[in-house]
Amino acid sequence: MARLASILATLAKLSWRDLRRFNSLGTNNFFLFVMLIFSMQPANAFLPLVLGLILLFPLSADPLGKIPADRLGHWPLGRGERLALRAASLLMSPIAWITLGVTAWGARSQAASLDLGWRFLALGSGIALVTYLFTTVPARLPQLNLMRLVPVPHHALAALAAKNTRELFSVLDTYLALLLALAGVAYRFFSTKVESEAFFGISLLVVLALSTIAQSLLALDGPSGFVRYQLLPLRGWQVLLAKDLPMLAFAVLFTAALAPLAALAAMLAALAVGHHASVVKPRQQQRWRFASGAGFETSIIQVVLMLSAGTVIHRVDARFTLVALAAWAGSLFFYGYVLERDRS
Amino acid sequence: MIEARKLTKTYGDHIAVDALDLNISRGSICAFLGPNGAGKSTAVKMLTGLLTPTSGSATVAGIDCSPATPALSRAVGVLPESLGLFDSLTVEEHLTLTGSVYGIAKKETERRTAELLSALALEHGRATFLDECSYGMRKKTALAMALLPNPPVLFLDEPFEGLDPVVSRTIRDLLVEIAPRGVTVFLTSHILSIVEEIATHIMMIRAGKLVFDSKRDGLTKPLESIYFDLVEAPRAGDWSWLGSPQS
Repeated sequence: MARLASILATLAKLSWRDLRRFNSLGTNNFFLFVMLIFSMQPANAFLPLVLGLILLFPLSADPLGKIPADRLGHWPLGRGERLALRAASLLMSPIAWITLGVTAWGARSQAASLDLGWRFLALGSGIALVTYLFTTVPARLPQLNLMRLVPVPHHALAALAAKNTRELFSVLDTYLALLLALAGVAYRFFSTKVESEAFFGISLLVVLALSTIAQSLLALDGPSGFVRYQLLPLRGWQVLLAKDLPMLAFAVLFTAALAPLAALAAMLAALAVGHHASVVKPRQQQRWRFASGAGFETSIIQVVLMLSAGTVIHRVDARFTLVALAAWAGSLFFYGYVLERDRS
Repeated sequence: MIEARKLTKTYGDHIAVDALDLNISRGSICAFLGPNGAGKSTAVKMLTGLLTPTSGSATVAGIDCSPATPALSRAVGVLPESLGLFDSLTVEEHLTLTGSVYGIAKKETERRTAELLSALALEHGRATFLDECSYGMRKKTALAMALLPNPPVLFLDEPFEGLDPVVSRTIRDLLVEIAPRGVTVFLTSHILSIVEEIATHIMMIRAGKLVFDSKRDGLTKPLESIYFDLVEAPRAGDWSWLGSPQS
């Protein structure tokens, strides 16, 4: 019993530390925007729901997976203890707490109806299953790893851009942007009452969802990858360009059916500001989490310039895209120089 | 080929590397020995442009090590302490990337890649993503990346640690074969038997200071004995609890 308690205590500690990593959300541009909108219009719950849905995926990971399988297998535990550990570990899943919370809330507000709790449990179980398949299938059947869909060509810039594209698929911001883009496309083609101005708004939301990543472009490579950048005979601007290209491509592709030019201009502005934080204030990012921003001031400047660029191009003159392009290029070369200067 | 004058790195009051002087000739296999934390990796980082020295200077193949430039990157092949790998690329893709970044033609990159994967026993893991690789596979990938551009100078930080005996032997043979062709090898290691076998030049560092610098021909007693005398003697402990009835 003491053994089991000790392992569960460790598991609780690991789960709590893992949960604290979601703090990254607190400096995420999209989260800050959603909180602002929600505080002004509490009835408008669409964006918080989309954000919450994306968050359920990492939250549904198996808590027992935090202990390396090899280590767990070697510990002197009996069959009964292992079963008890499996059962107790499920209670450490945030999904379990949320389900309990939703059930209690549903029971109180809907005259003892547990329907809401059961529905949420079904949703959580479904998400947990998808997460399980998403994490275990590539490990067992490497040929099914979705990252292989992005080939690495024999060209320095293209090879690095391909690697960076793969990395973008390991942060939740990309999936949030994709979900918003899909919602926008569905709205455009299936809604009975379409307002063309909404395309512009949704496009900016898509770029907003991606923009925090632009503040930590080098973070997903980790310290090991950063060392490789230092060793490769590349100029700083080449490293940054290889990071920017997938971001720009995503912004345009995701909004292709909406307002791609405004999205492009907004992303150019987001990257122009993001280079500063990425190079001068580099930070680590966790995979399968939302990207964290460099700070409130950076986020404000980035969002204001991003929205301004998109709005000017959409409402005033598309030729202002060239101004955004020039600002981005200036930032690219300047911070490329800073990256080289500070590389050691 | 590798020269350093009073190369020093300090962190606050702590002197990681203290006035290091080096003069390593072309075609040498120089082993840089010392305990953990002695300053070996810090020295390698300064010589490869990964770290700016606090004072002093160094050149590799006639190129200043500080500030680091693409010219220095082209002159050195490095197996860094952190390995310098990307989790989102496979073993083979790392070599494709290296070939393209160093401007090596596609066919030639493929030829060298095939040879390196075979020599380092990486063929079966060529399509494995690095975050799914064992430590040994990761190290071999990083080593292959250092070798693929055919640089005149190799800096290998603990190249034999964590490798199986066959690959370790392959690497030893490879280094011994390429050194007479003019490739200079600067390596750190804790495996004294391997160092004694292949190194032509041996240096020892303790607490940031160079305490031994000699050609292998000049060794008067076994390397292990010199190491224990100059760097650190084996430590004793009370191990009576090990092997006693379990509590």
